[in-house]
Amino acid sequence: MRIDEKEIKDAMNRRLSSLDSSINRRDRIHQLAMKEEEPIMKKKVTAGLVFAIVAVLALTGAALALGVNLFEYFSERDARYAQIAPQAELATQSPITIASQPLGTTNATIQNAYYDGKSLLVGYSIENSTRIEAFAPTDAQLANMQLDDTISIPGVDIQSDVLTEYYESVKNGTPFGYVLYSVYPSDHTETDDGFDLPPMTETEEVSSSGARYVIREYENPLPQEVQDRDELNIQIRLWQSISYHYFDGTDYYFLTDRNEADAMTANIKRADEQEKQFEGSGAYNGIAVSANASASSVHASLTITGNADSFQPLAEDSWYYVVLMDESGNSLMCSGVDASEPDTLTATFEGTGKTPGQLTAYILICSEGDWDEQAAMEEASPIELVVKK
Amino acid sequence: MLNDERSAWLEEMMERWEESLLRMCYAYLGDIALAEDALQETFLKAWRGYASFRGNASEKTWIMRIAINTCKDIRRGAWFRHINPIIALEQLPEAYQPFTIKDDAVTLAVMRLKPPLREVVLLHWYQGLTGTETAEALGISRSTVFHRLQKSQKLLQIELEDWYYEN
Repeated sequence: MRIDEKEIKDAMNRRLSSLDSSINRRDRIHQLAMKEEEPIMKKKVTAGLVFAIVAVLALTGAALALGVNLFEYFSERDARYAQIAPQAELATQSPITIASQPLGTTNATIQNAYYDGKSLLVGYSIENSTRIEAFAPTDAQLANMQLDDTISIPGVDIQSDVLTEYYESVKNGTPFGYVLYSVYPSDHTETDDGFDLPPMTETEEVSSSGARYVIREYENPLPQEVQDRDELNIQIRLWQSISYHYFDGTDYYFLTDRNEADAMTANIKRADEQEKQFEGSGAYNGIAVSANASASSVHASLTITGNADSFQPLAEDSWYYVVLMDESGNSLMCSGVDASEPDTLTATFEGTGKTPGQLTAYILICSEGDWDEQAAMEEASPIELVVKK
Repeated sequence: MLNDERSAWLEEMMERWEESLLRMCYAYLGDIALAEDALQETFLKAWRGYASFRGNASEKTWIMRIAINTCKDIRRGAWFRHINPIIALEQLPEAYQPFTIKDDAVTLAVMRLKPPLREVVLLHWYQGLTGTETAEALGISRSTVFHRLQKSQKLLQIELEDWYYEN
């Protein structure tokens, strides 16, 4: 049974109905527009150290719960992770311990990483990364806080009676505040020779013990400069942040600041699994086409070239769809197709976790509504690709 | 362009899109403060880009493109924190409309999709842009839009199996 799109929209609108229009908000935006002011990003405010941030002591080499293979941990969510888990073991790990007064001991490390010359996936963990406490400012402190226009929700995963009390106080119009201490990773991952690796997505879970387990994936293929190396040395900086939030019964106030705490580092050896190049030929709509592909255990890309009539623009409700299978009949999950040129079709895929030895591609045309993929497959001509010699 | 005309246009834009954009930004970012930032930034960008908008695209596609790109910028920014949507939803102010546990599950499932999938779901299914408009807004091909929707459909069906297959 297909999930109804309208049902999704209606469900979201009911669930998010507290997020509604506001005359005050519109007035504020209007005033900003009229003044041609740049918008204020609240979380970028660095208001000075009205409240001193506690000293951070970074100790490398301290003990951390090692041995957790995060690719195995997340294998139920993504079959690729299960397959590449053995190759994602690091020869050595470099755990970081950050000792600070509010948090105590925070442990962070890059646990595992997979690099095959074109793709990179990094698994890291941070234990004891947040703490929240009730907070009541003095008059002097309140004078240094900034007026906020809406209730603030912590941008970290934390469940706390203090937060519950804060929301209750807001609802009841009584004063209450909290302070949140956190250690979190930068979105930037840097190589030791200065390349900033573009992240694509993260899969995250908070364990019952409060540890954050994350697999960060990067754009594929990686930037040319970091492809095909024997090893990669990377670092992900850690930040320590302290943010104060106070509701005085009428208005919201906040103050936030951060400093760099340390960096998680890893030396990642290139995996034995290597990307392979494929070539092949076949026909599409009776026209001969040639095909080239590159495929690794985690990623594949395919280019099919025909003539000027091969890939004509389709009606509004139709689109090109490419099925790509390995020699065992496993489908690679398609992540994008581009048929904007009439003689060329390109497609990208997630790998299966194993580098294929042979590929078979089918070009299909899908339509919105009921569409039978199996029937379309049976009518399509296979395009066989073998490893380039 | 007279300033009062432009000002009236901004008012109309906000009246039309404020609520659905705020909810979309929240579903993408999982944080009220960031969603408010994204909404404000979206309308200010629209204000600044009014001249370039006229006649080039439908208003809806244009404002959605600005909004989703603003959300993506914020997500890429150094200050973005990765959000646990369960907690984020629990901490929303009280909803004005009654909602069911199923509504909660559906919203949570959408917020859990990986960003490239969440983008197409929010623009095509939630905002009602066509496949072509969604592709234009995201700068990807229409085929890619539909592939991502199919993948999202499969993932949502797995995530929401109890609701859609046992009821």
